[in-house]
Amino acid sequence: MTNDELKNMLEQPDAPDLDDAARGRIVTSAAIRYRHAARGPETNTTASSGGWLKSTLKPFMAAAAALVLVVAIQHSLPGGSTNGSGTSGTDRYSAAVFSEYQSLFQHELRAVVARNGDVDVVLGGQASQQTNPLVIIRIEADGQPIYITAYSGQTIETEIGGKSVVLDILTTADQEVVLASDEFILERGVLHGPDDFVADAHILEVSL
Amino acid sequence: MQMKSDFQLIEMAVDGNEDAFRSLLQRHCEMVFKVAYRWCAVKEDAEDIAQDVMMQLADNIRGFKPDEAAFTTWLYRVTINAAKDAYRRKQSRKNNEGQYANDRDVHSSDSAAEQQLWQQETTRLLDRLPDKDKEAVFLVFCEGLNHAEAATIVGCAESTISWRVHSARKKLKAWTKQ
Repeated sequence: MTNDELKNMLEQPDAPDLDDAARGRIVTSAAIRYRHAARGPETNTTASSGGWLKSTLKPFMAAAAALVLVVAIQHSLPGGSTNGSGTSGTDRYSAAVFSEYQSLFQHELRAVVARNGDVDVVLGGQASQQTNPLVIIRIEADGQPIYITAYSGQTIETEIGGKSVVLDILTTADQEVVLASDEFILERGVLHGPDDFVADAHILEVSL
Repeated sequence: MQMKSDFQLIEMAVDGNEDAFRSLLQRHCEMVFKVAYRWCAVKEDAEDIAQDVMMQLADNIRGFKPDEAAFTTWLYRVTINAAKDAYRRKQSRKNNEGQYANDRDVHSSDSAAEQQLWQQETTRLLDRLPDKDKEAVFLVFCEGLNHAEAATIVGCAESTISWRVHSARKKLKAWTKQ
C-alpha cells in the first residue's frame, strides 16, 4: 500500500462546524474552571486526566432524561465544621457552588454532584422547582463520598458505586429529606439498602 | 481594536486575565473539535473531547510559558490523548468491536451508499490498529503533518513515527486483502 493509497483511504469527510450552543458551553465551563483554579489552596489545580465531560447535553432539546455535564472544577470540599448558625462549611460551599451554576443554567440545572474533587452538573429539560427546599445529600459507596445538592422534587440520574442510579429527592411536611432509588431508601434518617452504603441528607439552611 | 496574538493572550491568561483566557478558548475550540471529530467521527463525542481538552487547558494555562508553537503542540497532544481515552472508554462500555464504527456520523452528501460502506470499513480497519500506529497514521494522513511535526506532538523520535506509519501501512494492506 503506497502513501497515496493510504491517504485516499483515510480521506475523511469534512468535520462539521462546532455549533454555537456547544461552543458556548465549552467556553463557559472552561472559564469557570479557570476562575476556580485561581482561588488558592482549597483548589486542586494540578493537571488531571479526569474531568471527562459528557456533553451529550443538548440544552435546547427537551431531553427527558437528566444529562450529566462533568464540569470537574477540582474543588475539594471543606470539612464539616459548623459556624455559630449551625451551618457547616460543606453546606455553605455546596450552596455557593450550586448558586454559581444556577446563575449559568437557571432553567436547566437539576443538581450539582461533587465527588472525588470533580463537580458534575446535572442538567435536563425539567427546571428546578426553586420554591422547594434545597437539600444536600451525602452518599458513601466504596468509601467514596458523593455530595448532591438539589431542590427537592427532582429525579436525577447519577453514578454511585460504579453504577447508574436514579434518585428521587423529596422532602416531607416536617422538613425531613426522603431519598428513594431502586437500590435504597433513606427516610427519617434511616437507610434501608446495601450494608456498605452510607447516606444522610438534610435541607440546606443557606440562602442563595 | 487590534487582535491579540496567541502569545499575548497566553501571557495575559497566565497572569489571571479571564477575558484573555476566554479569547484563547474561542479561538482554538473549533480546531480542537475538528481534530477530535476526525479521530472519532461522532459529533457529540468530539464535543465531549473538546470540552475535556479545554478543561485541561484551564488547569494548566497558568503553568505555560508563552510560546505559541508549544501551545499548539500541547493542544494537539492533549486532544489526541483525550480522543484515545474517549475511544477506550466507549469501547469498554460497549465491549463490542465494530459497534463504535457503526455509531459514527454518516455523511451522505451525494447519498452514495457505497461510499458510506467504504468509510465504515475504513474506520473498522483503522480501529484494529494499535493505538500508537493509529495515532501516527492519523497525524500524518488525516492532519497532514510531516513526520517531524507528528513526532513533536506524540513526544517521540521522528524515526518512530516513520516506523509506526510503515507498520500501520503493512497491517492495513494485509487486512484489506482479506
